[in-house]
This record gives sequence, C-alpha cells and structure tokens, in this order.
Amino acid sequence: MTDHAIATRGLVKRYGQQEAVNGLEMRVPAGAVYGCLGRNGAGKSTTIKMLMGLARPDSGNASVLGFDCATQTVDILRRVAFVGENKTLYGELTPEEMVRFTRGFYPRWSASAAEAGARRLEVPMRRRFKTLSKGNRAKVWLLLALGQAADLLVLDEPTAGLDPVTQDTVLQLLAEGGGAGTSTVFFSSHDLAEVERICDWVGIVDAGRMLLEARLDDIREHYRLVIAEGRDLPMERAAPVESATRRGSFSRYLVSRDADGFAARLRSLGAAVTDVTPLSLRDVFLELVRKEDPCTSGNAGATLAAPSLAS
Amino acid sequence: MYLWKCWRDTRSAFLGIVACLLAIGIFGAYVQFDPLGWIAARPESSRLLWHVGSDALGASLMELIAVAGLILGAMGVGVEFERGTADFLLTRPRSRRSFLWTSWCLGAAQILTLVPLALAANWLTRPDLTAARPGLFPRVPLAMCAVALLIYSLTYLMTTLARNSRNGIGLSVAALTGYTLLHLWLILWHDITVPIVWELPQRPDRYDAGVWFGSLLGCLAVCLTLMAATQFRFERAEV
Repeated sequence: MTDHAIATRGLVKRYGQQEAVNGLEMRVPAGAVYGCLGRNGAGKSTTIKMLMGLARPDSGNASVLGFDCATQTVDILRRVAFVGENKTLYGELTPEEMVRFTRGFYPRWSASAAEAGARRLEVPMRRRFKTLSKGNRAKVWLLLALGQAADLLVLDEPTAGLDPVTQDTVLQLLAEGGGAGTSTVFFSSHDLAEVERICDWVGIVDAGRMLLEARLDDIREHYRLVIAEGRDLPMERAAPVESATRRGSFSRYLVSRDADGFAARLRSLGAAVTDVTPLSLRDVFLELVRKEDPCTSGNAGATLAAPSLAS
Repeated sequence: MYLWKCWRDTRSAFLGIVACLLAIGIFGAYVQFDPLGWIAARPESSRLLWHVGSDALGASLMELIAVAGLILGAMGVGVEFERGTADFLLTRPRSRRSFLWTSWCLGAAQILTLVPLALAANWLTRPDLTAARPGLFPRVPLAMCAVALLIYSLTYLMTTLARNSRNGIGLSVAALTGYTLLHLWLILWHDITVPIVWELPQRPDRYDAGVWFGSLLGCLAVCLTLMAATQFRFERAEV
C-alpha cells in the first residue's frame, strides 16, 4: 500500500464541450475518512467513475491503492468496495440473493460483516429489490460493500435518500471504517454536517477542480477569514491564501495558516484589516465555491502568480 | 455466479419458448397420430383444417427459433445499461470480456438446446416430409444452429450498441431486413448472388455441398466477428 489510497494528477474528463473534471489534483491519505464536498455538477461523481474504471479520463492519471486506474482496473476492484450514485440493483433478486451473488466475486468476503451490517441497517433480506424503498435500496448497496472487507470504501453520496435514523447508522458505520478491516473511506457528499461529523480529511471540489484539500482539524484550528479594506490589494491565490475575492473596496481572504502574520503584511501594504475570523467547514465551503463576483474571484481558475504576499 | 444470474434473467424466456415448442410438438403428434380417433371422425374439410394448421405450425419453427435468437440476444450484457445495473456489475472484480462471453455462451447454449427441440417438433408435425428428404440430416440442424446464432449475435451487438433491449431488437430486425432486401435487389436486378443465409436451413439440398458448408462456416465466422465487435464496444463503454 502507498501513502495515498487515492492520487490523481491533472485528471480531465470532457463530455462534448463541457469539462466535467478539469485538471483535478487529489490525494487521499491511506487510513483517512475523506469527504469530497462539492455542489451539484462539481465533478465528484465523474471523478469517482474514473477511479472505479467506469469512465476513462481524457488526460491526466489516477491511481487507487497504488494501481493505475486506466490499466489495472480489476486489481483495484478486488480491493475496493463501491457504492454508486445510482442505487439500482437487479429487481428480481432479494438482498439475500444479491449477497450470494456478490460474495462469489470476493475471496475475502466477510459473512460476519455482511450479517452485522444487515442487522444494523435493518435490511429486509427476503424482499425483492424492486419492491424496496429508495432508502432500503441504498442500504443493500452499502451492505454489499461492507461484506467485501475491502481496503478502501468508495461511496458516492451514500446517505442520499435515507431517513435520519438510517443516516446516523450509516455514518457510524463509515466512521468505524466500514468494519472488516477497511482502512480508508472516501465518500462524496453535499451534506457539510455529515462530513464534519465523521471525516478527518476533506476535499472541496468545484467546476472539476480541487479548491481545497486539508485535514478537518487544520481547518478548524488554523483557517481564518481576513477582511481588509484598501486599494490595489493583491488578489493572487498563493500560500497561505486559499481564495481571495473583492467586493467593492473590501477584499476577503481565506487564509490557511498564520492569519495574524498575513494581516500584518496587508497592513504594511496600507490596508485596514477589519476582521480576522475563525471559520467552520461551512464557512470555508461557501467562501470557496461562492462566485458572487467572478471577475475578481481569486479561487477557481485564477492564475497562480508569484506569491507576492507569502514571501 | 454471473452465469447463475444470466440464467435467472433468461430462464423465463427460454422456458417459455421450450413450452411453445412442446405445445407445437404435442399438437403435431396429436394431429399426425390421432390416438383417440377424434380427427378421423370429423368431416373431410375439418380434417384438412387440422392438418393445414399442424403443417403451418411445423413450417414456422425456424421463425420461432429466429424469434428466440432476437429475444435472448436482447437479454445480453447490454441490457445492464438499460436497467441501470451496469455500474454495479462493472465494479465487480472481473474483466468485462468475462461477463460478455459468460452471458453470450449461456444464450448460445440455450439456442443450441432449442434447435433439436424445434426439429423434434417439426418431425412430429411433418414426419412425411422429413422421411421424403432423408439427406437433410445433419444439414438442417447445423444450418438452423448457425442462423439462430447469427441472429442472436447480431441482436446481442445491437443491444450493446443501443444500450436498450427494444432498440436492440429493432436495429437487429432492420439490419436483417436490409440484408434481405439487398440480397433480393442484387439477385433480381444485377444477377449477383450474395452469400446465402436464410436458405441455409430451408433448402439445404439446393446447393452444392462445398458452397453450402462454405456458407455455414461463413455464417459462424460472421457470428464471431459480431461478438468481437460487441467485445470491442463493451470494453470501452462508459457508464
């Protein structure tokens, strides 16, 4: 196993003229519970499809558990459990039959993990899949993933459509690492609260690009919003600035460390620093993906000029 | 395990066609042998009607096998896209080609089971015809297998291309009709003979043995080419 369970480099996927994923750089550390956050159409599901061999990248490369996604798909699939965005399975089969069908593919199948998962999720094992509710269908997918005793669990919006009680159980299962020896969990979500609850790493994706990838504890402890008033303040995104936007004469900087030092540097440029505020994950997310003034936004798509403030 | 699932998916269609063939065979045997003497007791016109019905059913068995090829071909691996289960199946740790060929082999085995049943039913409905042309064996069974496999493989390819069973059947029927019309146009207007397909099982004694076996092998080669195209498409399909 490598240091990174998942690593992508310059990953690009186009559908016609539209770039669903646009040079994505992502590093998921082995052993982490990693939440991939993004708005609808941000490129999360497309990225997951490329990782699982369901779509081919137009350029760039990706590796999962050290295996190349383009050429070693079967090796990846042996070690990775997947819960897809579209929670459809064979309508005529019962969850019990689905378990029997699926376990044949996995020599490491853990019957005890599958049984425990079925009990905790309260999956109706003897009803045909087509008669199950949306929530129960999602549970069956999860149950099949749990039984695989995989090294990595990849889930695309696993709690979508689940009631709060089941959502809670699923999150508990994921926080426990999916059980049966699974060491890394990677999942996509819109729900900031659930990511904040169980993840130790978070990646924020927008317009197919990684805007921020950091430990959640680092975000809580070190990330600050610095608001300054002044003319001709630099807007480049360079460490420690994660994003910079201007509204009128006010500039807003999302700073990943040493906010006080950064504020001092702004003051030395003649700015009046009006606020240095700690941020929640929600604040960071909104600060990064909100595009109220795209002309002056320093996030997605900005040119990374020499870090004039970082030096 | 995938073989078991393919069987689960296709068994209703397969058993339905087997039931049709058995019903035709039983009906043919009843008309032919009239064990209870009910048909013999009827007036001449009624007796004739029973025999015409039996003969018509016997003559339509190749068409029934062709329909079986269309149905089973439309239940191949391409239908996973239509059902929305492709992302589940294609994230199991097996090569895509193994799914494709497992599914195709099961369908081919079902077709090869249906052909002898159809021939048995045909013998029961028209024993006099079969007896009058004893040289037809083994040409007829071989040709029926080849043509049914051709239709099956063509529909399998079209379903994979269209990612939809109904569209797959439609495209397959369109391709078969197009080929037949092309065949007729070339023969009637330009006196050019294209490789025989439909006549393989229907008039096997019309052709020289070399031409006939060449056509049979050509038919099987086309099946494999269609499946190679299906594999090429399926291995590159994105979900």
